[in-house]
Amino acid sequence: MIATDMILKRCVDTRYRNIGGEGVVVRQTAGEVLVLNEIGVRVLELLEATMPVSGLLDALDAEYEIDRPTLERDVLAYLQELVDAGVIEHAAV
Amino acid sequence: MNFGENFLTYPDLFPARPSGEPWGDERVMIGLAGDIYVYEGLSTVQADAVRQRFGKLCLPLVEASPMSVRIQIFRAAADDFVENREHSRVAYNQSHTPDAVKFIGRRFMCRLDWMPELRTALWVPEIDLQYQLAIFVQFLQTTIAYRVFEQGGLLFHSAAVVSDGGADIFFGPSGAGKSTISRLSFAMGHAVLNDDMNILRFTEAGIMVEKLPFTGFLGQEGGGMAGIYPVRAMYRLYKGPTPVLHVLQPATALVTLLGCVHYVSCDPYRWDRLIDRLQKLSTMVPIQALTFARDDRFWALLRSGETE
Repeated sequence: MIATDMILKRCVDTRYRNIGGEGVVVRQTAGEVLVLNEIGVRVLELLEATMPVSGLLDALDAEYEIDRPTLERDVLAYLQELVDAGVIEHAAV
Repeated sequence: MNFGENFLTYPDLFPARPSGEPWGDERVMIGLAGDIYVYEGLSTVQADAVRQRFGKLCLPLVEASPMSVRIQIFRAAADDFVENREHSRVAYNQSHTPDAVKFIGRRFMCRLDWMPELRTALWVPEIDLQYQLAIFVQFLQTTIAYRVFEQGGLLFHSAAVVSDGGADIFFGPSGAGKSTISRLSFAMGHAVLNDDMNILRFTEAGIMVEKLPFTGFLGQEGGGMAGIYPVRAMYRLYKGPTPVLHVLQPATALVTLLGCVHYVSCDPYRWDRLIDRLQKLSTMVPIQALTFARDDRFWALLRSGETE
């Protein structure tokens, strides 16, 4: 369960490249390749800076025209999917 | 899971350097794709099997030049390996550093070291000769993949069909239809370089393809043709009832290409260069998706270039 005070980071074995607005993510340990949409790309870009999930939500809130509750619900669910897929993980602080 | 723990009795004892007890003092030199690969340390029986496997690709024995790639074959103790019948030959662990790549699989250990020239070593136990030979061939393929990559090219899991002086490359995972489309193309009078594995070279004249001459049904000696050809286009294959050509979005194109670059695509120290190279590739030739049926209609579609 993702909480807004958590800090997330890209997994060490995950490599990422922005290709024409889509994200190509490789989980090298598992040999898996994923394609992320524009939001996924932006999330990974924002996670390059160490910030809590709330900061990430603030940044996305400023960039996309969507009401905050919907944004939080969708982004938290999406982050959980990325955690489950082994793309991102909780950062040790 | 730690490196090798599924395959080795004592994973920590993986050889730290390319050394060990050779099987014998036989060598076999093989000329492939502009390079010379030298199996060293073979027993007489192993050398005969290698010569038989590679046929005319074997070269007269001379002193290996510094540019040759040495493949040293060493003995391993049978009880070094965990015997697990669920392990297939293609299942393996790998580990990477900037200067070395290590693999462990069922009854083999191997490593590639850059010193700075590429040197490789393979350890196998006393096992069935045909199984040993299969490991030798697989390891040569791995070595070539890295050698070609360091030269700026790619070993690419694909079928290459030649017509009118140019090549169309068909790719996709096993079962996508590379062999099927090769046979269909062959039956239509087109030449097939290789239906399984080809080398892509980046040149000023464009992307060029040459076959890896010891793999694939149509790629091996006696089937398929030789030569180096400019690549006209590349197609990710899908099977379906009606021929359809689709444009691939850049990220999807890159992912589909990535899936057909063996070994190197899992190497974190080469991933960025690989992605750069695949991006460059996608700017130099069209990368499309082709759905095809088991008939010759796809060829007219390719020539028309009509995409949905």
